[in-house]
Amino acid sequence: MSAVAIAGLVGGRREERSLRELAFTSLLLLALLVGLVTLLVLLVDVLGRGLPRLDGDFLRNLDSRIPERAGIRPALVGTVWLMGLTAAIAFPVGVGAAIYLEELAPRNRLTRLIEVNVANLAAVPSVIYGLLGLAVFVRAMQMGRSILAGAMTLVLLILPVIIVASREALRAVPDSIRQGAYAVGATRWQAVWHQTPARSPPPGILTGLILGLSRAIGETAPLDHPGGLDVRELRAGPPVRPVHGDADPDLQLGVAAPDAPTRTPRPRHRPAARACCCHERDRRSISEPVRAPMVRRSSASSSALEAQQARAEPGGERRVRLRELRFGYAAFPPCGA
Amino acid sequence: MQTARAGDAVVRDLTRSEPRWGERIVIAVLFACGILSIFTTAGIVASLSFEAFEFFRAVSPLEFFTGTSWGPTFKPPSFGVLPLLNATVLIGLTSMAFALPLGLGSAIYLSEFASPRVRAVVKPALEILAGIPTVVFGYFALNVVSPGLVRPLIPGTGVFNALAASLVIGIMIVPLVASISEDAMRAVPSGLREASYGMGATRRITALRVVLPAALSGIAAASILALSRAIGETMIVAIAAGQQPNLSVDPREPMQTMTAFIVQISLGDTPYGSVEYRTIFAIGMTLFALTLVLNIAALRFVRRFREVYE
Repeated sequence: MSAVAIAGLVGGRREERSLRELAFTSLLLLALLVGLVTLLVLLVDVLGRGLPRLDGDFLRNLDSRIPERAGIRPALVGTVWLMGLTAAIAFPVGVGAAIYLEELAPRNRLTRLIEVNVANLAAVPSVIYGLLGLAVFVRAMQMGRSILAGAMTLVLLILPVIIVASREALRAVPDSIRQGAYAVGATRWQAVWHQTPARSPPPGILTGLILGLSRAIGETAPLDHPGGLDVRELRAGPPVRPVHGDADPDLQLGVAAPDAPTRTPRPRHRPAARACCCHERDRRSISEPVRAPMVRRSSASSSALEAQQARAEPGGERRVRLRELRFGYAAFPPCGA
Repeated sequence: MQTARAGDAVVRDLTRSEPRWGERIVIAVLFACGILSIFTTAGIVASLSFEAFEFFRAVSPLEFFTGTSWGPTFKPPSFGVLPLLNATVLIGLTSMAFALPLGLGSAIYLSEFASPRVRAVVKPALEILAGIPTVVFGYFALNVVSPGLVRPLIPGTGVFNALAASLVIGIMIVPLVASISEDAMRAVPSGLREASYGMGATRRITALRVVLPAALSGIAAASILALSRAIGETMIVAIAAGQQPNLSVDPREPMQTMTAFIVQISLGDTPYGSVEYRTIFAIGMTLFALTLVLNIAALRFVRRFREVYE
């Protein structure tokens, strides 16, 4: 191992080396900053657009033909129901599965299969869960498009998260505790039941629930099928708009319960942000009482052209915004159908 | 006398086998919770394949997998999945092209260069990105990234384009790549690093030639999982990519992915049991198979890097 080889490994003369080091570190920092800056832009954009429109009426009101009075209450209520039900079902089942896998399961093929399976389920796209919910809960079990069917679908979606997190928490319990329990004649279940809760603080297990719910609450795709439409039935008054489901997928999309636990440090801002999305979409759809039939495919790009032209005109900004929003709407063809 | 009886009692308790019905029931219930995950997978496979089977009785698999035109709601309908598959793969790969360098760079910085204090602040901040609902990302792509970044920089791009969607998906999966890769890099024993420093290597050389190769299987796992996420991503592409089936490799054009098509059909009022209704299950099946292969590959890699160093 000669000095030349080492010099080759570390990269030439000293000044050159330090320059390269600096360049490399800056590149890494840049990579990191791109993510963080995007996050910042996203937050600023969403807060800037969302906060001015967020007031008590917006949260309290029902959907309305008049944009200024439109509110998200049905969706809010729907989300609270959905989250409550999901948590109530997923928590016991998830923790139960975790206890079984971590403490009681025999080390055999079936157990290994379950473990691999849980890991795999965590990575299945949520849209697939939606199809499962549609086929099993909505159709086969005849629940219809209900909150219950939506909640059951979300339960299946977040179970892997809860199971994995709860197992981590249980693993934090030292083995000596279990062995001590066995030594005084406890059965495996007694050891779990009497010793584990004392040693494994609830936060450990709750983390899983919170992570799971924070995934569930932002989830849209699986709810397109099973849960979407029945929010309407939770409205206090009669549906303001014609029944044909165009309000409801919208509402389901954008809504969050304000006090739901989330992982972000600004939980109160996120609902605002999403409410904003929902709000804008709603205003737009409502402010066009006579809507053209579903705009799809080629016509979407021609309206893109219109938008470009309109932007060129001075003072055409507001119109452009409305138009662009309508494209957003056209991107969901069935909403406009 | 009395002590002897107490001893007897203990001995009797230990030797007598009690049925302990309550405990058996509890364990059975917990077992049921555990086995539910198997049923979930079975349910996914069964429900998808049942409807997909019905679909393939009406449409030949040959047409489905090799057809180049997709329009199940048109008259006459066409059922070639290639445009959707193409868009899915293209958007997946494009977003990986953004996410891999960004995520890997972040991971190397966090694992090898950042002070613990910086890491403690930056890592959770980065992970917020992964917790943002994808609907919000979708609107971000449509309202900010597309008009603010993609269209001014790349002329000839429409409001809806695959590029803006890919960019935002790329940003969304950066935390996933960064987090798993960083775990893998930190699992590399510090002895390897110290040996490298001892040879006179700089931090850059150590990171690139010692730590990175040693953590390669973890990085591979992170990349595959991220690709699987990108392929399964739904709302961003449904909102921002344009919902037009399009067999093209130009990311500036609007496209429709498999997931976006599922959303389109399921939000509409396609009659239950019709061929259009069943298309989403055939597509779901294709998507599930695709992500399953990726996930299993990723799990293999994860297991390898855990085995080597733990």
